[in-house]
Amino acid sequence: MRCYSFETLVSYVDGSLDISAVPAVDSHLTSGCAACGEGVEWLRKTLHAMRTDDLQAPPRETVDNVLEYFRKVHRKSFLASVRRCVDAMLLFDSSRQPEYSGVRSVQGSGKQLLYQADHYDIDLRLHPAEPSEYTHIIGQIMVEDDRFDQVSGIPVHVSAARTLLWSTLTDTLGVFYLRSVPQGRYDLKVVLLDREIDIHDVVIDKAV
Amino acid sequence: MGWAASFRAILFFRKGNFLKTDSSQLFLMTKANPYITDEELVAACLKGDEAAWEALLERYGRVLYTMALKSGLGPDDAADIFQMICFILVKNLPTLREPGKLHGWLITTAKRECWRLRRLRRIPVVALDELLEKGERLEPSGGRADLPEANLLLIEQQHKVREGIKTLGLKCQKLLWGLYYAPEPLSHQQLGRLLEVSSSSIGRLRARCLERLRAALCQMGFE
Repeated sequence: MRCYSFETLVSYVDGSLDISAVPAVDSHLTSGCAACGEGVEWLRKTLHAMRTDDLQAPPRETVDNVLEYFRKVHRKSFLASVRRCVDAMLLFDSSRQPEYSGVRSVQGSGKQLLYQADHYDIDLRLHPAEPSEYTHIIGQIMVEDDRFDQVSGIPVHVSAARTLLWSTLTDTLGVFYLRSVPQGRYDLKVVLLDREIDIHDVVIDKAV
Repeated sequence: MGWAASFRAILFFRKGNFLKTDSSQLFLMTKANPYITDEELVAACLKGDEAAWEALLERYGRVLYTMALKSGLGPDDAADIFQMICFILVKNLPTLREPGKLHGWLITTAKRECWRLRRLRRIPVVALDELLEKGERLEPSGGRADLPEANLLLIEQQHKVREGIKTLGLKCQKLLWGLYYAPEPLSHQQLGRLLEVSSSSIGRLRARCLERLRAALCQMGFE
C-alpha cells in the first residue's frame, strides 16, 4: 500500500482526520510501514512537546547581571588581572549599639553591618528568613561618586572554613542577594577589577 | 546572512515581535535565522562578542531556569542557579574541551548546582530510587527529589523544538504558535486572518511547516 502524505499523518496525529479515514491509516501503520511509523512517532513527540511547553525565561535583571559580568570579563581581562587583597574593616554593627530607653528596638527585625575597604563601602543587611534558622543577606557595594559601573556585574563569593559555597553577581546598583543562608560563620570575597575585598567572620546566628 | 549578522538580528527582534501567551511566557518571533552552532557561539564568546554571549543566554536561559524551577526550587533560587551556571560557564569557556557538547555540559552543571543549593539549604535530597520504592509520584515534588529524568527529557525536547522553530519563516512561526503554543488554540479562520491566507489552506500550510521543522531539527543534529 502507498504511504500516506505528511499532511494526512499530521491530521491523523492531530485528531482532525475524517473519522472514516482513520482505520485505513491504523491498518497501514500496523502493517509495519517504517516511513509512516517514524513520521507518526516524530509528530506525536513534537506536538506533545509544543502543547505542553511551559519553559520560562529567567528574570530580565538576572540576565542583565550576567551580561554585565561578561562585558567586564572581556573588556578588562578581568579573569587574568592581578589583584591585591584588602581586608574590609567593620565600621558599624547594629547589634552592638546600645538600646535607648523608651525607643522602640529594631533588634529582631534584622541586623546591619557596614564595612569599608579603601574607597569602597559594603553594606550588609541580615534579615530573618523562614524557617527561622535561615537568614537572607542583602548586600550593596558602594563606591565614591556612585560609580555604579565599577560595582555592577561583580562576583561575590561566599565560603565557610575555606570552602567556597556559593557565588553571586551584583546588579546594576552593586546590590547582591544571598538567600536563606543557614546559621554559621562565613567569609565573603568581593572581586573587583583591581582588588579583592575580603570580609571575614560574618556570623549568622539566631539573634538576627 | 552570516552568523554575526544573525546575532544582531536576534538582538533587534528581542525588542519587538513578541506574542504574549500568558503572563509569564513570551514566544519569541524572529525572522528566520540560520542555525548557529554552539561551537560557533563559544568561539565568538571567546573573542568577547557580547551578541554571541547574549545569543547563548537566549538559547539556554529557559532550559536552565525551568530545570531549576521543576526541581522544586522557587523563582529566586532558580534565578540564582541560572546566574551561577553562567558564572561557571564564563570561567570555563576557554577550557571547554568540546564546545559542541555545551548542551550536555550545561544540563550536568545545572543538575549539580540544583543539588548543591539544596544541600546548602539543608533541604533533604531524596534519591529517586528511594521515592520509587515508596511508590511516590514522579512529579515535581515540592523540593524533595531531584528532577525526574522524564521531566528533563521533555524540557530538552521542548527546547530543541523552540530552537528549530526559530529557524523557520515568520509565517510558520506564527502558525505553529497559534496552533500549539497559544493558551487558547486559534481556529483556522483566525489563523487565516492572522496569516492573510485562506482558512482552507491552513491544513496544508501546517503540514508544510511541520515538515520544515522536522528537516530543520534533523539538520541541527537533534533528530
